[in-house]
Amino acid sequence: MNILECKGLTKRFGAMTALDGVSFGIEPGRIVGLLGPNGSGKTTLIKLANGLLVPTAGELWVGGRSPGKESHAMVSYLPERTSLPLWMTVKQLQDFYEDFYTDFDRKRSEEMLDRLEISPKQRMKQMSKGTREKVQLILAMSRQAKLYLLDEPIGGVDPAARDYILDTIIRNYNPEASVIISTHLIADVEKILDEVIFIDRGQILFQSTVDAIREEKGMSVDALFREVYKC
Amino acid sequence: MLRKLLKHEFRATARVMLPLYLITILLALMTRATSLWTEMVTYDNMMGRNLLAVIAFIITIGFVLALIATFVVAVIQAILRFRSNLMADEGYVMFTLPVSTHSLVWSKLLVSAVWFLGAAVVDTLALVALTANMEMFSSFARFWQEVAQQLTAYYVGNGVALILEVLLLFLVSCVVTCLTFYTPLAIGHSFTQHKMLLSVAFFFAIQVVVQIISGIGLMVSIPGLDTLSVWYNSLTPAGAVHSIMWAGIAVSAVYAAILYCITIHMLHRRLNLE
Repeated sequence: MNILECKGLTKRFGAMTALDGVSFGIEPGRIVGLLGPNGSGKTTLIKLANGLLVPTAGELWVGGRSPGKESHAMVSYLPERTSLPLWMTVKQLQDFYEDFYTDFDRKRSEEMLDRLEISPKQRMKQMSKGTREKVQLILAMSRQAKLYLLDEPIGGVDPAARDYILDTIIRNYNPEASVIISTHLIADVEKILDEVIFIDRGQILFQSTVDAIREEKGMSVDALFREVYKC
Repeated sequence: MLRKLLKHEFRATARVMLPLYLITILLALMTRATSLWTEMVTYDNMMGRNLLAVIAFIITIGFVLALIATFVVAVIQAILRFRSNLMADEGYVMFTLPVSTHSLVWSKLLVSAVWFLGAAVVDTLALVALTANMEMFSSFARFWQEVAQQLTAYYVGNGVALILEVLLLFLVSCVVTCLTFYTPLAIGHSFTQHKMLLSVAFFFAIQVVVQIISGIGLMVSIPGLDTLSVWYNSLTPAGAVHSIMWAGIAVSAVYAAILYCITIHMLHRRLNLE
């Protein structure tokens, strides 16, 4: 059974169509790049999978269920922006995750925080934007989820931080789970992807494995992206 | 899960409300202390008296403001928590928790109700601290004994029931107060643009609709007023009081239920966290 499946998924914001009849499925155990330029519908798709938006038409299932409290228990979500309460300390955030997610591995989060020398007593508001994003990533990747939905995890951070983030994802994700990484920074993520979904103006252009792209088209995903989305 | 949500909601709100309660009590004690101190300073020391009078005045003003602030801050915090924790960026965390929308809303309602109740208790304690003396405590105890006896005698054992009804009405009113703001916020934030402006517009729109419905309800019930009056006059005094209390609770509960259903529907079916 697919861990994520959409059928005819459509989302309109007033007159603007953000997603237009999108259909695809993602099997367990895959690292998938949801690739497309800004405004192509990547974030809308991820928000729909998290139940943060309600579809205008079509259906979406996570682990066979519509988005809701049962699917939330299976999904570890990293939003595109820092959404953790700024007044909370890192320790309070760990308590919060531990209380609500049975799959939260506190020890693992402590190890990652130690490596970055982030004190559990530190408040989010005392941190730089980059450190807040890392704390959010650490909390998301400390879960043994069935599906990780990571929205622009490397957007807006320096190249060294990008390496750290991708390394964190690879080291910590549950191997039986799927990871969906939404980004337009293809060169950085290409090395860790099994599969890609190209999306543009709310429609899926194609879905393929990275190996198939290299073998059939004889080019990297980054080169293909530049060719497909050429201005 | 509601228990866990309540725990974290208390943790988030206590950092504002507990210091405010503490300040209110401290200001009450300081007002009392300056008042007693002023009485001890003789009229020979006019400069000292005047200085103390100014200090006492400032502390008293602070105390009065603190008394009001306990309620005002409780209401403002209830509104801001709903908006910032559910309708803004923190909503990304809250709406992806494995909890139901009902639990999210109830955690806000219950915690807000507790802080409203806390404000009432703290303000009462502060006023007692301001005015209390040993004689007052003993007469206060006698007063309540008499009240209890009177209630028990007059309402044939219904004194406790009346207190419970007052408490229930207070809690339902707290829920209504919160939902009066939550519902327009939930509707306004379901739109793509001008979310706050639309929330304010829906707040006033709901108030207008409520006024119209109340007016119509009153007009429709006029022909039945005579019958109601006859029935009401046939009641015992205790029955009359209970009837009024339960009517108030029922009307508030129906209003709260309507607002709650609209809020849940908007958060469940029209959630639009952009």
